[in-house]
Amino acid sequence: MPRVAYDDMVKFVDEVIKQPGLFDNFDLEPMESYLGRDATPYLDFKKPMALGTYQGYKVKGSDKIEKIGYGELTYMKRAKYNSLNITAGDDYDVPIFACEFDETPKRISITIDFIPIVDIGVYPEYREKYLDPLDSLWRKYRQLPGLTEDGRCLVERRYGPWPWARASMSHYPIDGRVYETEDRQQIVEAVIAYAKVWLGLLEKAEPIKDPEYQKEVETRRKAVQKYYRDLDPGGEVLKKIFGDEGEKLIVSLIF
Amino acid sequence: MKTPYIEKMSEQLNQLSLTQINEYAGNDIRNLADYEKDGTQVKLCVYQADAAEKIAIGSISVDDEVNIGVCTIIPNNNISIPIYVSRWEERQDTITLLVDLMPTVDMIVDEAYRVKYLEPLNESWERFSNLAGIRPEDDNDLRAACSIIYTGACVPIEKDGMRMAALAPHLDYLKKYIAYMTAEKHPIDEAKQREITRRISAVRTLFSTNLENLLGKTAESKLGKEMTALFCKALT
Repeated sequence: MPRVAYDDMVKFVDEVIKQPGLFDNFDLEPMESYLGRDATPYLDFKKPMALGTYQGYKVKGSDKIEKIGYGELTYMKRAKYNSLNITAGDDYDVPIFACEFDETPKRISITIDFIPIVDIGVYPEYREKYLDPLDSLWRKYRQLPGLTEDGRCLVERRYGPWPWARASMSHYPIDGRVYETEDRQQIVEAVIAYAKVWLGLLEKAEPIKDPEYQKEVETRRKAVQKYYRDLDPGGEVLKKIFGDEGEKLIVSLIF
Repeated sequence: MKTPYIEKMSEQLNQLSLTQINEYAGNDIRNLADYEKDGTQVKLCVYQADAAEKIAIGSISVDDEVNIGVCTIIPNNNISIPIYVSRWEERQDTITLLVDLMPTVDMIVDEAYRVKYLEPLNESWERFSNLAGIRPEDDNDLRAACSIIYTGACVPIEKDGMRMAALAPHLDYLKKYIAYMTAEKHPIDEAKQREITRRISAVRTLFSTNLENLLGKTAESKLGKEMTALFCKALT
């Protein structure tokens, strides 16, 4: 397997967010605190073992987005842990855009998904509106070597050890590991492509009108957030670097 | 080429106390129980049993080119066990399969359900992920209703042993499902029953559409439209 030098690893915030101009149409407002915790120490941090940034944003003049959270953490110049999540406002049923993108010299471990906030087994119109637009991208990118090996499609395997995480996913996740150097750029393209589809869906989203449906959306959104905030396996590393309070702030800013 | 899908699955089902029914949704299904004509063979059995609204198992084999087998167990809506779904499409050089315990509730919100009925199959899910040709279910809508432990594959048949290897997850999941059926059931409240009823109905519609698409014109040209529709209806 090829190994990628630290300097050649993906610069996530630049390459995935800034250069493609993902949020150029939004008037972003940085969140200095979240859920009563100060977020400013994490905007540009340097610790003995890690450096990087965690940033949360609101969008000025829009209730369609509850928050945009992203982060890039470099661990001892050996590995990078990146994330980008976008959560729609409470009155909207748009899925949660979720991306975890971890890179080591050996591989990229990737999860990209639109986490549904209703039970997609029972809402065909939700699948059609918010998830089926991913069909062609999913079929294209799931074929990347690493996500497919020896005739076996390994999509959905990275989250294998965590049943709650698998239960949260849509039926179009890209979730696995990519090893070859040239395929790493393709997975960057996949993240950008998924994000652009999500932003297009947000544009068309209308506020929820049915109170019963809203209740279901709230219940599921809270359940998903609780799982990721309490049980995300990356949380232990964050605790070691930032302590309990820092970890709580970062995971809630992202999820 | 034919793997004994019906025979092996029936061995498992026969552990239950089954009552065979000859009429389904107002239609006489005896014609389909053991039908053979012009190279087409059909088998269909529909049963009633404790804890199940319906147990159905059937197959259609056309010109020795394709053999499609299906087994479903639809639980009663006043108990909270999943739906057993097994689909088997055997050709000369491939077997395309899906087997799952499809949840009857929202499996992220209802953690207790997930832990009790789905997570115990994690070990099987991991083991069968080594099956050659493992892949996600291709039907988008049906995949959306699948659980976290479904096994889907298009197994290349390079040697005969692979046919039985492809059948193994169907039997393993069924064995575990039968244990759920026979275990003690706890009463559920009305709201949960409404949720279960809604999801059972959604899954049946999705699987019925999937099966109709799979059988398509091949079965219709052999059995006729009406008989094909009845076969699908009885199995879903």
